Amino acid sequence: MSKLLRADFVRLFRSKPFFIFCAIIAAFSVYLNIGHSVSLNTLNADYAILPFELLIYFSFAVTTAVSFFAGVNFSDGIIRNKLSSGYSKTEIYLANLTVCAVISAVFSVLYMTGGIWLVVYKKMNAATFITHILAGTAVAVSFSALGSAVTFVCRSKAVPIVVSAVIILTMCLGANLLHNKLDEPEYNREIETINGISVEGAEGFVYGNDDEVTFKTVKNDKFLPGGTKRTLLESLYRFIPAAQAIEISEVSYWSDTPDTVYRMENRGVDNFGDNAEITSPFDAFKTVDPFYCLIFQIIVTLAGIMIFRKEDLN
Amino acid sequence: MDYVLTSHSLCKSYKKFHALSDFSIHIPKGSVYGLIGRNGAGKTTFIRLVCGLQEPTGGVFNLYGEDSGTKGIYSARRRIGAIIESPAIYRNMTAKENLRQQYRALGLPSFDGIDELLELVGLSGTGKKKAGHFSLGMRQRLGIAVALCGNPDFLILDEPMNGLDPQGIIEIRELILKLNREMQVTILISSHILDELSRVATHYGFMDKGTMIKEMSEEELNAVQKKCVRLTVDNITALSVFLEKQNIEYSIVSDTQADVYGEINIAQLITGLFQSGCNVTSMHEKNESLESYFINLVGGEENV
Repeated sequence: MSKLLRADFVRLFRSKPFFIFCAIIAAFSVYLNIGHSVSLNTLNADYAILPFELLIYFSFAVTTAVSFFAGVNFSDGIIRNKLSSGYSKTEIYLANLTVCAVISAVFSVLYMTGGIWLVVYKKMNAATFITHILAGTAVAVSFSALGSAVTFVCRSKAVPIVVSAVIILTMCLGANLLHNKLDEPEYNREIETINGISVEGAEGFVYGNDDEVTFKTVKNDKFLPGGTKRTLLESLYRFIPAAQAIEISEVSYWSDTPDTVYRMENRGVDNFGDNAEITSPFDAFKTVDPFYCLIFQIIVTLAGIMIFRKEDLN
Repeated sequence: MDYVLTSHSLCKSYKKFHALSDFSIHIPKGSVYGLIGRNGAGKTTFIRLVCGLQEPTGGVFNLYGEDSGTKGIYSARRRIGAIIESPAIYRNMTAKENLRQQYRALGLPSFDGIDELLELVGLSGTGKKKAGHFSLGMRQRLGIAVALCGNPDFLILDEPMNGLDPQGIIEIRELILKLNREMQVTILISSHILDELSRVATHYGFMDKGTMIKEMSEEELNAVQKKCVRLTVDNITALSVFLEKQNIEYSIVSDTQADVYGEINIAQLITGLFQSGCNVTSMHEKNESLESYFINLVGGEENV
């Protein structure tokens, strides 16, 4: 397989489209960071903005590039040469996957660091930054695994681009639904009285700044308490690369505020008393995310290999 | 006899359609084996199985002593070069880059021999032209050059004459003969151009509906092909009456021509015909064509 890997890497590094992709991504990153830099100077803010907010859109670029690279095997019929040269389908798949993973990693690092020098003078926690780069790269590699699997199953160059896009959009939708479900607060705050008058059950009332308003804390029926169901849904949420991309996008704004508090505030979650249980998928993000990425990559790759091995090629 | 490739009861089904059933083949070492069959007979399916593009649903084939389905089949495949249906080449690369890429994939230590290969297939002057801009014939030749990378012992060519002009067909024919005679490469060719196939093949396999009907060597084929004399006459009715009386096998070709089979005394035939009122204006000896033999073998022209 090493010979095949070498041949595929040589093809990659002599490929003009690959370098054009790299240049576009780096330029886009610089463009984003120029915008951030201007904003920071204008606001004189005491925080830095990391350029991860478009990671989910970046996934489309990864799957497109992967489909272009791996799809040549089928569009130009090169897979026939490889098979008749004595390589197994698994070797061909894994060699392609390795190259595609490198493509996605290169894209990821370029995207995340392309223009970072423009904002690096601001306060920036290096460990946080590196963690996010690694997490972002792990997510990008997951998307390359997905793109490879789709390409080897569809066995063409153009169709996998569309199929991958549909899968990513579906994952985004699923992730969003799970996100909302998991993010339901345990308690909601409702207005109890305005100027001593009870408004319980009333609708459409208004009150001004001078009004005396009292609130009460009510249990949220939609809140999903800790337990097997929540654990399963959290695991499923973390398993979806689109969800991880969204997570990374949402923690792109780093400040001096301690992470957990910042994230909770950012998501509109307040701490309601000593008994409140704050369970957020963000809490475990830093430690378990690469693990879930790896699980996703392994499952998708095994599924891709199994299907590809059973497919009759022409 | 040493065989490069054999198969026994090989089957390949696509759902309910049996592309190959109980298929057997024996390709002798050093031969040019012509695989003949109509469209859908299973020629390309068999080649796909041998090259690893598909897996048999039953039976087994043996390539260089290694059975299909075993790990050894992968190393056996390293001894083959193949071009299946259309040439497998990178369209965004030049001819030389394509060969270099195949050399890398094969793990060859140097690029020695690439210029000779390009010369051999007549593509040495293509320079920086990308393969995507090649004519079909040029792509076909490049595909053959790619298949020849690493000096394979066994070359599989599926319809190698497709898209070639007459000059290209002659060049490929000479290349096949050269590879076989000078470099002792065993070659399996499937082709619809039977006349062309008959010029290079040393062995034949006739297949129909996924099964091998008959395998034979060139000598065996020549022996069973009917010898005949084609006569051109001015009275085809008188010819027919005379041959019927003499109990000689014949077939009418046109209003003035007929093929007369078997060992015949030419002098007696011409004299007899003259006395029956039929003048022979020309005659020449000919063999039954490979095409005719194949048509007879698969059960008549309506089946082809």
